[in-house]
Parts: sequence; structure tokens; C-alpha cells
Amino acid sequence: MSWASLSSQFITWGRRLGRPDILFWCLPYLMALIFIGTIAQKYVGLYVAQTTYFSSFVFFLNFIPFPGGYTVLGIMTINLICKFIFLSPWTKAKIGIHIIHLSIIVLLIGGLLTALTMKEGFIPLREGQTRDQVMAFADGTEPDDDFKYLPFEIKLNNFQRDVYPGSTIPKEYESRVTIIDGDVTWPAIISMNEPLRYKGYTFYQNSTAISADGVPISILSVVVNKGLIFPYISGVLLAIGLITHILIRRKKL
Amino acid sequence: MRSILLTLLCLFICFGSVQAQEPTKPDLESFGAWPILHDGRVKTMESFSRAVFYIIAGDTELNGITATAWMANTLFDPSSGINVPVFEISRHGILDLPEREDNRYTMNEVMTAMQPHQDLLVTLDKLVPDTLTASQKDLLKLYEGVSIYNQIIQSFSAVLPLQGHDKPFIDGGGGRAQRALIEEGGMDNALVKIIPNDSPSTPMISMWQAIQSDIDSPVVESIKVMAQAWNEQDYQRWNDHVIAVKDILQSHHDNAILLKLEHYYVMVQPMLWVIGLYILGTALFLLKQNFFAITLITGGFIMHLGALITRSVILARPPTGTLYETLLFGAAIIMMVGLITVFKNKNQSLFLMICAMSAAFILFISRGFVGGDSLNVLIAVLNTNFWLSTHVTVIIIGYGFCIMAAMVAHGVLAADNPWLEKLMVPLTLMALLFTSIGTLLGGIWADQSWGRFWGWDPKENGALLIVLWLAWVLHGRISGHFKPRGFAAALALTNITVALTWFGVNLLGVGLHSYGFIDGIAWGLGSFIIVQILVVAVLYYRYPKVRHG
Repeated sequence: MSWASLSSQFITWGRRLGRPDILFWCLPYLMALIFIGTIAQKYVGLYVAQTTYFSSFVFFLNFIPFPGGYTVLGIMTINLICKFIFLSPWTKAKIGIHIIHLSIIVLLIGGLLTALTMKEGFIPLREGQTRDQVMAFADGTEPDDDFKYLPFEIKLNNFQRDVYPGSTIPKEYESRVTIIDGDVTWPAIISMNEPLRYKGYTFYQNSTAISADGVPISILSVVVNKGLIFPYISGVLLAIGLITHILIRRKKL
Repeated sequence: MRSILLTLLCLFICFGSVQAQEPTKPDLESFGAWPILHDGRVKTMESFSRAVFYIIAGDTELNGITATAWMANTLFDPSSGINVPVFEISRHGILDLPEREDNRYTMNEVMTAMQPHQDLLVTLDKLVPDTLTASQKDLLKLYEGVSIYNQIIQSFSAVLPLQGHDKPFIDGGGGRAQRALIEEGGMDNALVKIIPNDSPSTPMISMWQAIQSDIDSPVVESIKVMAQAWNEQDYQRWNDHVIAVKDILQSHHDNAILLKLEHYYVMVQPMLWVIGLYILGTALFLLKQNFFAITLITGGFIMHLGALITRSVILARPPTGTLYETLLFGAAIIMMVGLITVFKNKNQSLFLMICAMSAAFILFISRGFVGGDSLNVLIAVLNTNFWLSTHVTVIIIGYGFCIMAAMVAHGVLAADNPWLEKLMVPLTLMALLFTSIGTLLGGIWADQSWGRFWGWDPKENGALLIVLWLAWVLHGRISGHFKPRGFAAALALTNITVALTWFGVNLLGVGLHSYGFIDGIAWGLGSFIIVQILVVAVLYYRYPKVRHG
């Protein structure tokens, strides 16, 4: 085969895989999948529903196999990338649409990266306690072997749990911590909507508990997620793309 | 609608009695202005009474007795307070109660009926809510109401006149057994927090808490005099003290003006007027009185905005914190877009009418979520004004555009109006802009708070469903899979996806987004979906005649 026929084959297949038909049928399937996977949560819980329907390539209903979340999103990602490369009319009028499509590609790739690399665990701490061990998830699964220990220590100096005056309704949780990393000590405040980011690890104020002897415990969750930045980039691109497209269309009116 | 008439009737009565100068009625308006700490914020006694009465009686008023009147009677004369029929019990279950047409029972009757089942109630309280049967839930709810009632009747027991003794408990009156009973009842009494306290974390405490911590307050003395006066029916004396206490209590608060604002908000019930004005405006449009229609609707919108601003000022946060508030906000967005569109292009009056109808409908639904006191504080994870104002606001604006797009699609199928048709795609694009950005913002908020950008939980899935639906409808039109008729029909069905996300996900009670479970919505949602599908089906098949007929 010559290079010419190979590349024209490549382009032909690219165009086929980028067809709008594929999207038109994938979307309702994805919507149905999300719907079923959501109702299922009431019966089997969030974690099981998530791993069965969304974080899977295939699932079974009465022994019949159906494409799972990874499969559908995979097909849609390939479809969008092909459409973007092979079937996009690169005109000024369509620039908004192209930016939108690019943002979705970024989002999907980021999602893939997260699904493949994300690690998560809990660290419960009493005031004055220092730890470097990551504990199991709420559903009992143990953290991965390379995630059982942090490469540094974290110490809880002070834990504050504010309630609204005269009630038990929680208003704010706040943990004042210090990271002890060899010679470096790094003080920080972790609160309900402000996590601590250090060396690729992110610490969140997850919740609180009371120990058997009545001492309040701060529960921090710790996450490593290499795909972290993608949704942010995608969001900015999506906003720019949609606004651009709407403004271009307005000129037409 | 009934509430509007009742409010008018009340105003009329108030007006009447001022003119007649009858001094023997208790000054409930001043009593209602007492500041009290409840559910995390300092509110008016009136709001507190309404919130509590709602839990007990299911309404803010019963047989002409206002919540405030009931509260005063129960606090100052508990022996008569326990004989007012307020508990609504239609299914008696295990309780031995007499048959009654209006199903209303007094605290006395209910306590007597519950007496033999005390152990059962304590066990029920410990079970997981999901596993309870309907009658068990009823019983628990009743128990909650009874516990609250119990707190109220004993709130002032330290200073109430005692039968057969000339001094109340606090001055040493009462026999030994009597005193022991009263003291025991006061041990956990902390619901009615009206005594000022110097600590910022507990700015107000209950009378019993004050007595137990040896805190002296002139308010306690005044209430003692008021209790005496009430039981002698000397309401003039009661009135003098109620105002004095009000002044003392308000002087301890920097935000006394906010309490006044709250009182007017509750009294005026602005949202009811707004619904009325939007409906009247729609009717005037149908009668071809466009000018008057627009005037009324604009007036209604100004009141609507005023209500939202008032709520934000009272609660010191953006008006999108509770489900109820998102409904108010969404309706406001719809009206705002409708008004702006019609002021820019007079041909779009049909669009404004559609917006007014949609807003009125949303506000009508919102009435089911008011409860006794709709001014609620937010739980910790929601208590962040930045994300609250951005994510929730953007999503609700998105919902607003979705509804506008869907209703315009209905209009196009029904009337084939060219001005409406022009609006379909722009509205859909705006809906897509706000819902997709809002959903992404939600992911970012979740990443900042809970450590993961996307968790496939019901609210997130619902938001994603709307975005996917809109994308599908738009792409279907572009690729030719949807012809104009199909596009309009699919767009019209967007209402269903919005309703499912806005309300449906709360029903599941699953995941990080389950802030609260609301009874009886399932039926409303289900019927809405069925009706919506039928309506669109009818319009879809009718359309060829409309277009070419």
C-alpha cells in the first residue's frame, strides 16, 4: 500500500468515526445509563452503583451485557476527536463551536486521567496527634500499597467545630495543621471549603467524629489526582466558546 | 389564594379594632416582636411561633387562632393551652383516640393516648428513618410535636402562678412534691431562648437555663408579672409589660431593625401578591390589554425583587440557599428575561405572557416548601457565600432559561408564532451556557470541599442530564435528525428533565447532595411528568394543522 492510499484510508475512517449519527445515538444511551445508575443508588448505594454503571466497560442486566460508562464515554471521546480533526469547517463563524468542542475533549481526557490515577483515603486526627498513615475508605476498601503512607507527617494543632448559636447545626469546621517534612515545617488551615495542597497531595476537611472517650476528632480526606487541572481548563474554554458562539449568532439576528 | 383572603381579612379586623379602641385584647403584635434565638438565628417571636405551630398543627393559623396567639396562650396559661385542639391525626394507629370529624386533638388527649406506649416511642426514635413504616413515621412525627409542646408549656413554669399558693416557684411557692415536679420539668427546658446572655456562641438562653446558671434578668420579673396579669385576664397590665420586655430584649441586639423587617415580610406575604399580579397580568394579556398587563407584571416583578432583597438582608447571604429560595430566584430570572425582551421588542408580548405564566406556576409550587418559617440558616458545607452565589445562582439561571425555552417550544407547537420561533435556539443556547458552566462550577466546588470533582451522585447526575439533553436536542436539529416539529417537541420536554433535577433528586436521599427529604413530592412530580408528556404529544400531532391550517 502506498502512503497516499493509507492516508486517504485514515481520513475516510476519521470521517466515519466523527459522524454526528454516533453522537445522536450515544447521548440518549448515556442519559438512560445515568438515569438507571442514579435510581440504583437508592438500592445498592452510591459506591456500588458507581462502579457497576459508570466506572465500568460493561455491566449485566439479567445476563444481557450492556456498555458501561467507560465504553460510552470512550466512543464519544473518539467520535468528538475525529469530528474535531476531520469534519470541522474551519471558518470564522464556527470558531465558538470549535472552542466548545475542544473544551469537552479536554474534560473527557482529564476524566480519563483521573479515573486511571486518582487515589483517595482518610486521616483521622485528634488535637496534638501526628500521623503519616492513610486509613481505609468508608466502604472498607484499603488504600493502594503506594498510598498507605504519606512521604511526610501531618500534625493537628487545633480543631474547631463551630455551630450556629444555640443549636447543633454545624456552621464551620476548621483544622489548624502543620506539615512536618524532614526539616521543613509548613503550617496551614484546612476548612470546609478550603483544602491544603502540598506536594501533589490535597487535604480536605471531610467531617468530624467523637472518639470513644468523648474527644472530638477531625477527619481529613487526602487525594492524589493527576487530572486535577483539566476540568478547570475545560471550564474556562467552555465559557469562552459558548459566549463567543452566542455573540456570533447575535450578529446574524 | 385562601391565604391572601385571610391576610386581607386579618388586616380588616386589625383596622376595625384600632378604631373601636378596645383595650382588653392582648397586644400580640408587640409580643410577636420579641427577639428569640431558634434554629441558629435570632428571629421574631412571631416567626418562631409560626415555625413551631407548623410542626404541630401543619399550618401557621388554625380556626382563626394565629400561631402567635397560640404561643402566648400556651406560654402564659399552659393549663388552658393543653386543651386547644391543634394536633391533626387522621390515622390513629395504635393511639386510643375518640373519632372526630376535623381530626384535631388537644395536647392533653394526645399525651394521655401516648402514655401507655412510652417505651415504644423511645425505641422508634433510635431506628433508621428509611426502615420505618408509614404509621411509625406518623407516630414519630407526633412525638416530635408533643416534645416541642411539652417544652413550651414548661418554659415559664418557674414564674407562673400556682394554684392554692400565693407565690410562684421562683419565689419559693408550692409544696415539696409540686416543686420537685416543676424543677424536673425545667431541667432540659431550652426551646424558648429569650433571656439575653453575654456569650457570643449562645447570645440567648431559656428562662430555666438562666435560673440554673444563676443569671439574673429583669425580663424574668416582668414575665412573672405578665403571667399573673394573663391569668387574671388583666390584659392592659400584660400589654404594658409586653412592650417593656420587647424594648429590653431589642436593646441587646444590633439588628433590631432586621427583626422589624422580618415582621413586615411575614405580615405582608409579598410572594402571594406577586403570584396574584403575575396571574392577573397573564389574564389581561389574554384579554388583549397588553399595556395594563405589562404594568401589572412589572409591578409584580418589583415586589418580587424586593422580597428577594429583603430575604438576603435578613439572612445576610445570597437568596439561593434553600430549595424554596431557588424557586423564588428562578421565577425572578424568568420574569426579568421576559421583561427585558419585551422592552427591547414590543412584538414579544406573547413571550412575556409565557414567562409570567411560568413564573406564577413555579411560585405556586414553591408554596409547598414554605413550612412555618422559610428564613432558614445553612448547614456548614453550604455556608460559603462565594460558591453559593456562583454555582447555585448560575445553575438556577440555567434552569430558568430551560423552562423559558421549553415553554416557548410549547407556544410554537400551539400557535406557530414567528416571534416565538426566533427565540427557541437563542434561549436553548443560553440554557446550555448556564447549565453547563453551572455544572462545571459545581464540580469545582465539590473538588474544593469534598476532594473529588465528580462523584456521580444524584444532583450531579441530574445537572449533567440537563446539559446532555440540551446538547442532544441542539445537535439533533443541526444534523437533521430532528425536523422542526420534532425539535420543538423535544425542547418542550426539557421541562421534565428540569423538574427531575430540581425536585426529584431530593426524593432519593442519596449522596452528598441529600440536604433534605420532602414528603409527597413524588406524586406531584409523577403527575406533572405524565401530564407534560401528554400535552406535548397532543401539540405535536396537532402542529401540521396549526402550521398549514
